[in-house]
Amino acid sequence: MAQSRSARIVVVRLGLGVAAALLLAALIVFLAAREPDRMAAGAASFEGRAIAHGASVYVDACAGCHGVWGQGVPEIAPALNSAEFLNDRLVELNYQGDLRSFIESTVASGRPVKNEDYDSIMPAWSQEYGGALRADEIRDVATFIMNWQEASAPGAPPAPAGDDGGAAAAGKAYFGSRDCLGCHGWPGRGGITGPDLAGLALRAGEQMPGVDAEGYIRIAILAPSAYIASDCPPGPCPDMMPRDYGEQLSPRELEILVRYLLTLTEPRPEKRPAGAPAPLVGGLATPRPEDQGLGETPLARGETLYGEHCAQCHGDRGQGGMGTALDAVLVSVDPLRYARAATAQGVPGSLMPAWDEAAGGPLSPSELDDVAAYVVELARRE
Amino acid sequence: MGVRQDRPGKVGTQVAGRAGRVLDEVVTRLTAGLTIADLRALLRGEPLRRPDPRLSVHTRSFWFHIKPRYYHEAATRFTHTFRLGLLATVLLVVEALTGVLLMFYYTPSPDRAYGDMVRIISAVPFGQLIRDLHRLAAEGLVVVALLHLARTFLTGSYKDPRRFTWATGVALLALVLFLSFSGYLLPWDQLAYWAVTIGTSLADKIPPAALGAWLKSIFLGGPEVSGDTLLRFYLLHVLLVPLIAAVFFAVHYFKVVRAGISLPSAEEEVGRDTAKRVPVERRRYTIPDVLSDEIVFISIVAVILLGVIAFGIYRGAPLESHADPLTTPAGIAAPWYFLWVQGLLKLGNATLMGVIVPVLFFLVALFLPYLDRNPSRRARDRKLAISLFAVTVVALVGLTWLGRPAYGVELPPAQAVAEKMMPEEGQGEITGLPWSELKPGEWDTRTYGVSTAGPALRAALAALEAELAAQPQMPEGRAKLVISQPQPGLKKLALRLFWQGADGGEQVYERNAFVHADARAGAE
Repeated sequence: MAQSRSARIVVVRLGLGVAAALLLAALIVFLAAREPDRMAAGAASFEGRAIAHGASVYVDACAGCHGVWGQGVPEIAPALNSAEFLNDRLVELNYQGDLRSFIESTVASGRPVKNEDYDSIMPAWSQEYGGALRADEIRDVATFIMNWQEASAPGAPPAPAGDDGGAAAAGKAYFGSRDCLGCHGWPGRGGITGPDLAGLALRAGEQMPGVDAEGYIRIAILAPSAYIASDCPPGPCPDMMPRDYGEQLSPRELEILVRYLLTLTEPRPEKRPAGAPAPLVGGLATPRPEDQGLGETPLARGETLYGEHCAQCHGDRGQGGMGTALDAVLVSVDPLRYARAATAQGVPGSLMPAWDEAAGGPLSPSELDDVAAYVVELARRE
Repeated sequence: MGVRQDRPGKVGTQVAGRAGRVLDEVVTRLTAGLTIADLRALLRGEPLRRPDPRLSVHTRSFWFHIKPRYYHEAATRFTHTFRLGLLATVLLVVEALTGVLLMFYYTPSPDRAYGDMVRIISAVPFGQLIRDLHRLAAEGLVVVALLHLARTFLTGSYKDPRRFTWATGVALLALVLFLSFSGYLLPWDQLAYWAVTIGTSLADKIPPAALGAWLKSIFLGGPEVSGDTLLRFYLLHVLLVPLIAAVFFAVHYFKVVRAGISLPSAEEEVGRDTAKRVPVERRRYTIPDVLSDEIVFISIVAVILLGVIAFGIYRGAPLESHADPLTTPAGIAAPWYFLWVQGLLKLGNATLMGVIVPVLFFLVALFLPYLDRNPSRRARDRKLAISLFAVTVVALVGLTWLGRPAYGVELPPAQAVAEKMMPEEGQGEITGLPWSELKPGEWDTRTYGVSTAGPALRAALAALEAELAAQPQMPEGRAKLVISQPQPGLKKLALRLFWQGADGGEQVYERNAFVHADARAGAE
């Protein structure tokens, strides 16, 4: 009895031990097999975290002089998001090291000289030299800046919308969430750089002979230069509409957009009487500054221009809405130049277009000055 | 070969020839003295030759000399001890081995520590596995040590002659907790920095005030957690505390062997200890019985440890962003085994609840065997002790519950909502969305239903809307989420919360976050 029991125990134990050893070996082989992939994913993940962290450091420490996303601010600091900086600068300086060491050492110790292009110096940012940034923050901001080296592919095309009932309603939201709004504004509210699309459904069918309203809208989206409407405002308008919507939009997106535009049967308001309630924006009541005549002072002119072009996204008091809250300009050593540069150049990757005439926008240099002055005024007031 | 031909002994080898002798020799070496014939005799339950070949190794070898020759059969039953002491030892060894491996890649300096952690995870083969093992075994060690303590209490095994054994065990538990705490700081991330900042702030509360302040500055190497603290904690973690723990471990183990593992209380009369008087028929010899049992047990533990990590059942040791003394994160959580102290702190002032009560608790535990004069180890004679134990367990669980971050400092409502959607650390309902769902554009809690938002983004916006509606202090709450893409692979999420302020004006709270496509393991 006792013997066979102890023998059974030994057999069970041997079996368990062998099974455990085999499982252990299998687990180690399994872990080893996936180790290279895991390490690569880990490295990519930390690189991504460094870029994201560097971006927030950039916003706090660098954007004030080098522009919202590295376009630079004239007379203050050069562009960083430029091929010249990323590819040619080291050669120009005959710098021995690589781009990372150039960026990190420049951020750490600053550039204590002015030159003819920029009339401010760059301070030392490293805590070691009396600045505000830790070594890891400097490394991360360099990683972020170097990430501009990658070909700036536009964001992945939006995923096709699900069946969300009411194609027109979906199209309206899409209109509001894409570039359309940045130029055309909400229908009935006045175009910004593109024509106001109010009443489009009424006139679309009569624009091109033999083309019905839907066909015309499709043509206008996919091939904007094919036909320039007589009511298109003078200036850069016809050239500004991007010509690549055929590639950017999925069939479903084009479809919902067309459905929405076909619902625009209310003609453009002639001139809203003073004191009338503002129309709804995308179903939201956003107050709009009253129409005003051109004032005398730059600030008054800036206010008018702001109301026409900026308030829709940045809020009537600059408090932000779809666009950034404008007190952001106060991060800069020179908020006025910063605001002017950001307005003139726009912000790549966001809905903020370039407003400078030279870049195809609607504002002349003096108008840009006025708007920037008003924006800084608003930011300080807020 | 010829020299040792007499080794197999009288029974002799039954496997013929030279190969048989070699095999016998190998088996004898492996079993530390048992020939094939001895093994067969053992399996059949026949008497062994004399002197007993199982015992001689205990006088010849250091490692076997510290193991008893045999155990009482009743003390080796799995359900009596659950092998918790052995398990704790195994985990301690895992800690030591993985700890040394981690030390190869780690520099205890604020400039390098975090970068080294990143390197361990992303550039060292098996680095993350080793780190996860170190962390898992550390947490496991706390659990196992507590269970070991509970088992010892419930079987009354802390009574004479094992009173000092119990005291060394409680001291070891405190050392293990301190090892965990000191290891917490080493990754030098936000979690580490702030958990240790909060933890060490208790040192300030040690009365009298001057002593507390002095102790804290000695402990931290300055007024706050800094590079000096990191070096101090490192040396405590890898050198001083392990040395002290090794001494306590040695004494603890020595005492366990010397007094023998206590028998189940039913096996002996009240007030008597017969653990060392093992009748011949109830002996279980270390070789091969107990030893093989332990090897199998350890192998199974190893499989469980590795399996739990390999299949992601254990989520792995976290690494938050780099320590930032200027940014206090929203939810600072102590490690779970210290939550009961946080719970205590919510009940009263910090000196009383944070220092005096835990220290008293520890001292009572330490001297418990000397306080409990009841000689009986049987549960029915120990109703009071077991009730008090149950009350203590319930109290600790309750305090732990109370100490959870959910009962922590309440954030202002807007910040609480933003923290849930786009937390400063880790991924929230919005920042955790799949990359493709974070579609550039403007999204609004009032219109997302008719927008082109994908299903996951839509669900997140619905959650955000519900979260705002649930905040009584944010009437007419609404939110806008603007997603833009400043760089390839990088998206900026700007969340703005609007609500009606007390003065009727619109209040705004803004939080921005950046997310990178590659830094979202598991979210895709």
